[in-house]
Amino acid sequence: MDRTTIYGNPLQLARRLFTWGLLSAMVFLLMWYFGGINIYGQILAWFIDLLTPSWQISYQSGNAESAAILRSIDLEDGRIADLTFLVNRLNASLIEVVTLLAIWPHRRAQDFWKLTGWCVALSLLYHCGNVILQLHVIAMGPRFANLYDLYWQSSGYYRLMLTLGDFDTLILRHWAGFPIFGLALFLRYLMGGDQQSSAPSKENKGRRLNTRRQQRRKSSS
Amino acid sequence: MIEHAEQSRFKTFVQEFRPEIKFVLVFAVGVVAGFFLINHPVVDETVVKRITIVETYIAAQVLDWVGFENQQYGTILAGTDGNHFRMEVRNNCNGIYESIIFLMAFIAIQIPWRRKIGWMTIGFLLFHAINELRLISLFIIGSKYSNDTFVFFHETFWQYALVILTLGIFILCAHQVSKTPVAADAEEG
Repeated sequence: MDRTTIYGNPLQLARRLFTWGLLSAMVFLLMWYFGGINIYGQILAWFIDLLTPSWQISYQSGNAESAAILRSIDLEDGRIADLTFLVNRLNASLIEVVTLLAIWPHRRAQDFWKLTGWCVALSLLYHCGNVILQLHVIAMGPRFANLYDLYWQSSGYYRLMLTLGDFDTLILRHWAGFPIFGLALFLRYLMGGDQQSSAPSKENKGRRLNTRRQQRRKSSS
Repeated sequence: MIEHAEQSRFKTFVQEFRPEIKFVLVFAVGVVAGFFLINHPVVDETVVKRITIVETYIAAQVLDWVGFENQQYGTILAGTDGNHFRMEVRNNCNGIYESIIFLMAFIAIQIPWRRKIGWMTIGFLLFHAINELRLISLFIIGSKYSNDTFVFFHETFWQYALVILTLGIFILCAHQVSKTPVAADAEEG
């Protein structure tokens, strides 16, 4: 999409945000709370299980407050500890992506579907990373150790993971839809979709041809 | 060949979208730096906690005024007179981390400071006024309705409302900034 169209009329973008953006978010939320949360959770749990072969991952279906990805840890004394991550925590980034897809002007339906594909792939990737990181931080933390009477000592690695986890909890999780959408736009551009803005105008094309001719003349002389 | 084509496409992208790339880089670095600054225990204790207490105090006063009697203990709001609802204002509810995003977006946008500072301040104050409204409404919902309703409004409705309003305020303020006469720039330059 041509940038001048977007930059030239930000009010139109704001209007689209509070009309199409809101409407699409509401439709998404209806789908999310009436079954979507469990479908997405199942898919996510399957991917996480695939990415972490040494972990025992399962999915607990339910509503917004109980649908969760579970990680079971076998303790040395034979007990099993279950760590949970509520799937509903991931809804903010998905709503943002849906809103941005709805307000972004698309030239062709094909461009929209390509962008949607990238958004889905990147969202899944980010959510897998997010859940793995949070479950890892919980498993390493002092609260988990206290709960199961395990020896615990802080380490540089734990502090690093905790900081990453805090950054995710306090900032990234609530705004991740924006970088996901931006990255999807970038990837679509790189893979050759919707390059209207990069296509040379007639004037620029003429200029390029002239410079090439000049270069040829220089090299021949 | 394909690799070469993608490389040249990447080059074209970098050349063509230089201002946007600069915006993203400044914004990302700013957000990370802001996070480390605010997350520092000293800053958290001396600045963040105090701001949160002031926000809780304002919410408590407004709630009293609209008929929801309450008692404020630091960052905790507790209902009185038969209302057993208690609510703690934590990070993420105080709007401070969200403010980093809003301010950094304005800092990263490549417009002279003189033109953007006014709208940046207006947007920031508007954002915090909306956040106060969020605290007040959450206390009322928690006092009157079920826990499920409170969870929905806390974790979905207001999360999304804040994001969409922040984006809306940013777009409107950026539009107002871009409407400011160019003569101001000439004077500056």
